[in-house]
Amino acid sequence: MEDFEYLRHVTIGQYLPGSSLVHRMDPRAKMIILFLMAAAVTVNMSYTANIILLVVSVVYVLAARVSLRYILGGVKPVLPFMILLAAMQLLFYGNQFIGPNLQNVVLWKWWIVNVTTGSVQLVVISILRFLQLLLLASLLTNTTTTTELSHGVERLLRPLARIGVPAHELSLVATIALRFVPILAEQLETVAKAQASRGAELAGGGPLHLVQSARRLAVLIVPLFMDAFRRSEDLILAMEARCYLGGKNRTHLIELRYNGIDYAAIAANLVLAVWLIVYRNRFPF
Amino acid sequence: MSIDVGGTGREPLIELRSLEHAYLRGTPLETPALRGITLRVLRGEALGIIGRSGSGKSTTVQHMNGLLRPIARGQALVYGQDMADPGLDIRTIRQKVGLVFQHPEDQLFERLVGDDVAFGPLRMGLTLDEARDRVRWAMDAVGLDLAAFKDRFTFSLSGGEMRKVAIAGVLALKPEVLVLDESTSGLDPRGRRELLALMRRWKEREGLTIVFVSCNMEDIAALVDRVCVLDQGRSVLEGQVREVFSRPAELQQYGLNAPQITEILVELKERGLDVDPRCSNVAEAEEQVWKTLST
Amino acid sequence: MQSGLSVRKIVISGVLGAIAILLGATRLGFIPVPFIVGDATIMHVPAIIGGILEGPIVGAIIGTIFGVFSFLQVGAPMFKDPLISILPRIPIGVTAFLAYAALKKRNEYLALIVSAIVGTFTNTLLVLGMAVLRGYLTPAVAGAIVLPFGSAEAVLAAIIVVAVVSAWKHLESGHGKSRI
Repeated sequence: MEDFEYLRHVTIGQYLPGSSLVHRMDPRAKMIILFLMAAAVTVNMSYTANIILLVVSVVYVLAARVSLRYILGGVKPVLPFMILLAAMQLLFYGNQFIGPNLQNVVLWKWWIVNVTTGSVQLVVISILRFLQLLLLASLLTNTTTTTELSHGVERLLRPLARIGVPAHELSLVATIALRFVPILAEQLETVAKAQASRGAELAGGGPLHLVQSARRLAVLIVPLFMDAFRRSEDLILAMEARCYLGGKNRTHLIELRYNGIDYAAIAANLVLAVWLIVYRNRFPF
Repeated sequence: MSIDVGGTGREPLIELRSLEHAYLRGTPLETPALRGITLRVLRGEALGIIGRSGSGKSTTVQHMNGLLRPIARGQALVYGQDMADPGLDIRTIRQKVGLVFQHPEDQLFERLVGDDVAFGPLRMGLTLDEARDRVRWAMDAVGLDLAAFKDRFTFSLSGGEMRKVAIAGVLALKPEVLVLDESTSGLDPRGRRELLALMRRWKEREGLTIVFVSCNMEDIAALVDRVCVLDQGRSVLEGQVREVFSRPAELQQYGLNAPQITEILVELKERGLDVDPRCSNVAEAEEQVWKTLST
Repeated sequence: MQSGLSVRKIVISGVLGAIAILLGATRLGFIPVPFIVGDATIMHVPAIIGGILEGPIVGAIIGTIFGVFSFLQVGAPMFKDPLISILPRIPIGVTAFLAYAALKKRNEYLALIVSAIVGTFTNTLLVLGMAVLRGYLTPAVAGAIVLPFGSAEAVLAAIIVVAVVSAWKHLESGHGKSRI
């Protein structure tokens, strides 16, 4: 049966109202923490570090009282592809040894197939990393409204304004983008339903029927873009009518202020991240 | 609650029984949309579906051509087929029941008008010649001349013309039932009158069964025979237009007003004038008032 | 405008960026290609269109949004490296703009098609290039897939870009020749 609920898949951008500790933290703190954790994730290749990071990510998600199932639900459409990918890495990437303290032991070699402990580690670490980042990124957007996000980004970028980076404008771009994703998803759903009602086949088609696939896509994409352009024109008009002139000397009704919890959280994550980064090659496993 | 005044002996093409539905099931954003819809669409009639925003009108009609399937409780039968059956031949249903969405012009995608209208017939497997005849018929049914419009660029048309092209695109499938979801929304008064006149023509001349979803009471009163009122995902009233619309107090309870002319007649009756408030037609009402005043 | 970012550019960047995110999140337009670097996609197309319609800055911003989303999204692990997911995506809209600007006087359609191809290959070449540099792919593998991959995405992109831009700009007034 067809699934027109595109909104279901947009789990990263969706704000889920709540009153947990994480919801109430300063958005800048959350973004700084995401950045620190992402850095730790990127450089760590060992099993130990990644398990620690995964556990920490899960704890954060639970602390925010966001449903793990909801976040992981975003993985479903990609699952078959990921399994295929993992299989290929396992079988063919035996030489991409990444563990800092382990030997690369060949487990099974045959023709171009080369399964080693290295390739096993590659697959496992890749999966763990991607889970960590998925949880952390979703957590940020699920617990922070787009207004908060844009404020946060703007305040964080403000120091760069001295070298000409238009912090306010860029954060506005981010806000608009995040705000429009669910709106356009609903519009896409409507168009998909309208075209399906006319007999359009929206799924299927193999990789070789490229032009056909493109034609089938056009049925959805062209109306999507046209709607986006129309909405853009309306928004531009609305902003200009309110004499929006850019970021210079703009103040906000609610200014962001850090509080004790933010400092504590940043400090704790800083310690964790630094420890993991500095000692990344010392983990035994 | 049904105040159906006498069966018409016509067969029900679509039957919804205690239909329920929720959006985004299984996610934290799950929202119930239908809590129990029961209604029937009879062959050859014009059925109106009214309710305030959020009452579930669009969700209801999307069950009529299989875009939504009964996944919770309730049943939907279209041409006798159970819509919950996974082995259903959906293409036949979609050909028989055409659905025109709100702002249908948003669905246009082809560069040229003729190509867009021909999209449906060609997908159905018609030859170019057969498709051309269909397109000619469909465009004629919306008041656009084939020769004049088929080579025009879709997005260079006016809003009203684009809407007609979109509707023609649905008509080109030659459905037996045409469902129109708030198709007059966004049109100026002249555009609305034109579209309503076309809808009447489709019903009378082409024999189409029409399901018309609208918030506009006057439009509904002008076009349909029977009407079904929805409130918070439930069907609460169903019956002949005259009967349903002559109960403005009840309608208000559901966030709706009776057509203005009906409200005027009710008020006049309350003040002692001998008029029948079961009337939603301005011309008829005028006649009544003259008659009463001259006796 | 004080900062070179007019209201128009801000809004278009945001909205087309939203489309890029949406295409990624819903996997619309993902065509499975039997290579391990991912499916052929049209996620880069909004950056191309933004570059064509509003210039290189807008194209670069949309490309960045595409990159950040690609970094955050579920997909091939090598995209978890920002030098592969974000950096190579920034020039997509820029090269598309340059190609379009260079050719539009000659023939609008040609300009759109070439621009789509140039933008696509910017994406493919830079991503694969960085992947090789960072050790995720061997040069042999990268060399083998660059052409089939890039061409598949270029065909998709060209069809979509022409359809969308010509529709929006009402490139023609007058008539075409309908199939029927």
